Amino acid sequence: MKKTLLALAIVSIALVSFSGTAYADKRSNTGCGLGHLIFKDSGESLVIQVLAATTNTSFGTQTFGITTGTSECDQFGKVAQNENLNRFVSGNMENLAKDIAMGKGETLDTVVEMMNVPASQKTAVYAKLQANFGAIYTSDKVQAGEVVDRISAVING
Amino acid sequence: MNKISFPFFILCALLAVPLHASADDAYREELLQKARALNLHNERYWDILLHYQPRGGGRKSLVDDPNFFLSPQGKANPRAEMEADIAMFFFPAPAGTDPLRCEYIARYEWLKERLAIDETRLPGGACAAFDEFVKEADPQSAVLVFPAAHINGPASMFGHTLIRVDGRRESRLVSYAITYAATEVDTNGFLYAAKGLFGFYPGRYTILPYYEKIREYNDIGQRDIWEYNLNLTRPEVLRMLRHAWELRDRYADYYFFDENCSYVLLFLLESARPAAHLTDRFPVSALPIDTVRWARREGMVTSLVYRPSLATKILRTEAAFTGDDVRLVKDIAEGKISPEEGLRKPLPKETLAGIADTAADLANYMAAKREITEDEFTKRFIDTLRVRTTLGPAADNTAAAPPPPDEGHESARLGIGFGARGGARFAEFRWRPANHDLLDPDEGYLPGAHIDFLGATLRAYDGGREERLRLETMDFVNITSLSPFNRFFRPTSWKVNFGLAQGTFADGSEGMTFRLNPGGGLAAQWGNALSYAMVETEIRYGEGYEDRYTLGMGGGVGVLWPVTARYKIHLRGRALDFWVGDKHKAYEAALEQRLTLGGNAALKLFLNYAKVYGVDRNEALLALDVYF
Repeated sequence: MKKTLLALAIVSIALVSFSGTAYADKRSNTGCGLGHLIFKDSGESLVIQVLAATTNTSFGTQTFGITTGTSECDQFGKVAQNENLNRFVSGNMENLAKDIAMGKGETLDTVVEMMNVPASQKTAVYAKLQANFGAIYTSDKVQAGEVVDRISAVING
Repeated sequence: MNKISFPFFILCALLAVPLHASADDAYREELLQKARALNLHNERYWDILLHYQPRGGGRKSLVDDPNFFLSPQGKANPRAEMEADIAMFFFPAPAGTDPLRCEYIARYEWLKERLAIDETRLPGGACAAFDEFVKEADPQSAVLVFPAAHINGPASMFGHTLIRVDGRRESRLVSYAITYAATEVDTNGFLYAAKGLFGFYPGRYTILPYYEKIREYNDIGQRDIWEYNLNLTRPEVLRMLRHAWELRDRYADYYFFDENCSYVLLFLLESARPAAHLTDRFPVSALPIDTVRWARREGMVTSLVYRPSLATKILRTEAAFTGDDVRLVKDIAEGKISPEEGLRKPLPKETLAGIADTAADLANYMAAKREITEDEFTKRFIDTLRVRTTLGPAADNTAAAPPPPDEGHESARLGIGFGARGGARFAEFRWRPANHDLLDPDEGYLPGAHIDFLGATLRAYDGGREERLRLETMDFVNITSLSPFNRFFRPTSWKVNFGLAQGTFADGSEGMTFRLNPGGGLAAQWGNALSYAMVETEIRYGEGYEDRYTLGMGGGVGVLWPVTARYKIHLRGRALDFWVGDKHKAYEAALEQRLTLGGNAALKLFLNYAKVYGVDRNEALLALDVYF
């Protein structure tokens, strides 16, 4: 009997080491600054990984309908003209910052296309944005709405 | 359309029908007669749009959502559904709303064409919401997207597929992606496990911006994405979009092997191009990559785009960096040195630019893995990028893309072989529905990954045994993930093997046992040889053991060496001390060799030595494997 109990204990330890509790991280809305989405979406335990094989669901990555963005931040200081642009930027904060710093990249291409920057001016605009990186990302707490406004200010300035 | 009020809305509309003018009744009758005369409900396109499949003499839809059907018998009665749909075209639309037929736009448009419906004789006006969506999506072309396996998660090895609809914009990131995935999952790991494997979750269709999917797979899930451009024409893509509109937010019970994420997307491709035969192949299983292969065979695929994940991008820079460069990248990402200081080192500017880029990516990766806090990440990331703006372009070290996943070997495998075990000869049949093991050719697969669902081995012994035919093994699930250490990452390698296997008992007899064998350890790459060491536990349950069970711990080591592209060797050894239950020791050593003969065949030679309860047993097997 003792042996059986010991065995059960060991098996359960072995099983638990291969599972873990999945949790969908329902964070309160901490705004939509850099890193917000990463920290909202990630953190999958091994068991979740294993099951991604059969369900193709990743935890915490909620699926939304057509008209819903993932930004959770529709409260921009300034009502922007282009809701899609704001949604795109808030969903791509890290990639956009990196592209602006490098002076090129697909995320940046998308933003200037959505802002209707003519192809002939792209090179100049990229250089300008790169030079003004510090003015766009004044701190690491910057919000998506501010980024959009400052990018337009730099382009139109 | 609000989901909750929707059935109620249909009910209201149904109640309103009898109040309608008789002119409508006459036209509705005329259309119904016409549909019957043309036998439309038996046309293939109707099956495609409603996802009907032959079931026991009749036809049944794979969709389970009652809102997808207008007839209460709709799921299993194509004709009743068609007639209910035609009647629905005459439902009045309350002022300011789109007519209900707009929710079923794909069937409406098809029936309108086949029955030459005069839209002016139907109540209600245009489909404003759908037209707005088409304007937004601007459907011009389509792409079949395949997120591949996670680098250390062979369980995601089956991958996933989604469909992207591209417009005239240059940017692909803001295109729409149509996907089907299990939803409403439990938050308890065990419940999620059980239900996820056995299909208790509804799968739901969703349409959302592609960049959200890239984020999910590339940046957070660390899975590479392959994009197969399709040659669908504009009208075909529009047809597909109509079908996607009809399916959005609808659910179908999700079955892992057949009604999975990929198989049901084939209906979308067929709705675009009904001449392509994709859903009526009745395969044993439809793995995502199989669906890509079928689309290719139907001549739909034109070209290929590769999007490496964050982890892959970081790894691809490794070869070009010196040891000091790598150290610097890690120190910046881990916050051990400020980017201002670290990027002042006397190195060529383009090297520093590359170091800054990779350090930013690595910080991003660590954040996705929750190894650093949000505040640590954003500060390091922005500080690194601020310095990065002054460094100019980075050295271009883009490595070539790996072979695409659809060019890998086929998923199912059948092996037939002959061998000898302890003096008895046997013939062996090994069947594996899916999908890759360590000795299979790695092109298009993750090297060092083994995943086997429901594989079984059957042997017929000749002479000297009571049993002539017996089941040797049956794997419910058997996964090994060997991820070698590299200068950036220190992944854990692991394995889990759960199923039935023949066991040896104290008196030397053999019998069927249940086996659970998890383990974890490390792997390292030298040249192209992959070595590994693992600590493992094994529990077996069988009638022949004292107390019916035995539990042990031990370890295993091995070397996997692809000598040439066609010839691979796997040398491995295990030792286990079973110290609970039926106490004994077990040792095993094996040399496994595999030679690829051609595209779909391989020759295997396995030599195995085992010592259990002090009894030695040698085994040799020569087998021919065929992939299909």
